[in-house]
Amino acid sequence: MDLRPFFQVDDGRVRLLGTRCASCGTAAFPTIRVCPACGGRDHLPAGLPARGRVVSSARVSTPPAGFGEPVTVAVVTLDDGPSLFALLSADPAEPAQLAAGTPVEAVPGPVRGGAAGFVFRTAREDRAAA
Amino acid sequence: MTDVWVAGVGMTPFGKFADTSIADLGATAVLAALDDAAVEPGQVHAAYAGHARTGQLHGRENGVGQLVLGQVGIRGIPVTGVGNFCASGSSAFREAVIAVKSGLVDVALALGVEKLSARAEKGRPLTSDGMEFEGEFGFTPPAFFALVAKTYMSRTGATPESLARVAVKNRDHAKHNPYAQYREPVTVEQVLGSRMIADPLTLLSCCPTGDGAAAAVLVSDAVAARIGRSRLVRVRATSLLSGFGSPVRDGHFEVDRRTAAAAYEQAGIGPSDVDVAEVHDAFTVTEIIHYEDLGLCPVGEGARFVDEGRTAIGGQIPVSTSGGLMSKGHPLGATGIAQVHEIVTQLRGEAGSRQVEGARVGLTHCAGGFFDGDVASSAVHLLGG
Ligand SMILES: [Zn+2]
Repeated sequence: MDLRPFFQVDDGRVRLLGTRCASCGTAAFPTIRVCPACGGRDHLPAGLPARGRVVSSARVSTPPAGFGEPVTVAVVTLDDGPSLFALLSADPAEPAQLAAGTPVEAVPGPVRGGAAGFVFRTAREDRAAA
Repeated sequence: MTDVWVAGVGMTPFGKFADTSIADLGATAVLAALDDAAVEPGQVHAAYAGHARTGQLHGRENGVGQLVLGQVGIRGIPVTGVGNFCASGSSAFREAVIAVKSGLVDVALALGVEKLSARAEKGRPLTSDGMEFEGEFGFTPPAFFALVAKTYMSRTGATPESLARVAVKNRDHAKHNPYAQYREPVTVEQVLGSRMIADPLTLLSCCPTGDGAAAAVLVSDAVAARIGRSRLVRVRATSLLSGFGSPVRDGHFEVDRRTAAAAYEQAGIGPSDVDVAEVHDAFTVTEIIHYEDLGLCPVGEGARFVDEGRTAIGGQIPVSTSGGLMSKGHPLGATGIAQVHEIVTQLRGEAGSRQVEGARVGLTHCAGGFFDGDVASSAVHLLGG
């Protein structure tokens, strides 16, 4: 699946292409039409910073086709509110699993079949401050 | 308004039947249900067919109902395909119940069929419709429920051993069910020692796939009076909701709580009135969470409930007496109606060695698919009493 409609990389930082309510600011990813918080009809395109916290993570020994090795997956809640299913970085410098509450951020990285996408890793201080 | 009665049920054994077509599987279940009800094919006024993967695997995204019913000479009636992931069969049953309840028809047939052995990707978890985006990031159903399990276990202190006891119990139940695909006993050690799929879920913590079909005949008061009510089972509630919660965050299924609450309200009974239940034990951990969400035990005590044998046959509220999806396998479209088959068999007192003594009220629960961080559907039915 072509992930290009779902994210952008600006200056090495991943932004998720969702929507934000013009009335109350509630964010959504992927995009929606009607605000679940206030019913507003103006959910406008918004690039959401791919930063958030781990809700739960698990090591998957039998991943779907297109992954050669076991992977670690998680549900991440973005600082802007929405949650998404996330692939964690396979970088050996990263911990094998991340505890609930760990701050994470997305960086460009390979997904299924080595395709260009984004993966989450532990948040770096400089980025958290940025 | 008429009551709705299950007049007959029928199913094929669940297993891997490479040489049997979906038409044959479905027809076998339909004929068994019609014979059980003593209803002739020509007396069926409407039919609903549950199936989820026949498009991808058999080139029949639509028309499975017509295909099966053509085998048994049922034509010229309203036939509707019902797709709702793992809850396709439950949803077809619900549509048939509603058709009779509305007064539009007096005899409705619900059928469900699936043949998953035709799929190519053996040895890997079944994928789920509509999860292509998440699949790019490694999503599989066991991966999702592993995330839910992690949260549930950290909240409640439930151990891997307690989870494994669900698989052990359900396999123990299955030894008495000729329709179950796997009937050999397993131990906690075997469950925990089997190949890891998604930590903490091992191979024997996940339900197998399978082929099979199930059917049920639903009738109105008028037809029930004609047939005689001695073996008829009343449908007390049908409840279906789409997902809206965050089970990975919560460690439970808010949608199941609301679906079950609506069912109990419809029936005017509570969880303590339930004598036997078939729940969606697609994974060991989910059965334990379902105990809590369906109100069968207090919140947080699901693991203790299985540890103490309260959901085993002979216990306080036997769950998955058929062996569950864990032992029968999970031919998606057939599963929900096979659950009804087991509950009807129990409430009639015809379950033989796995009979729950004095069972009067039974519950079926089936969840299906995924959407935006939750299951896509939750279905609960209450029967009997
Ligand atoms: Zn809003």
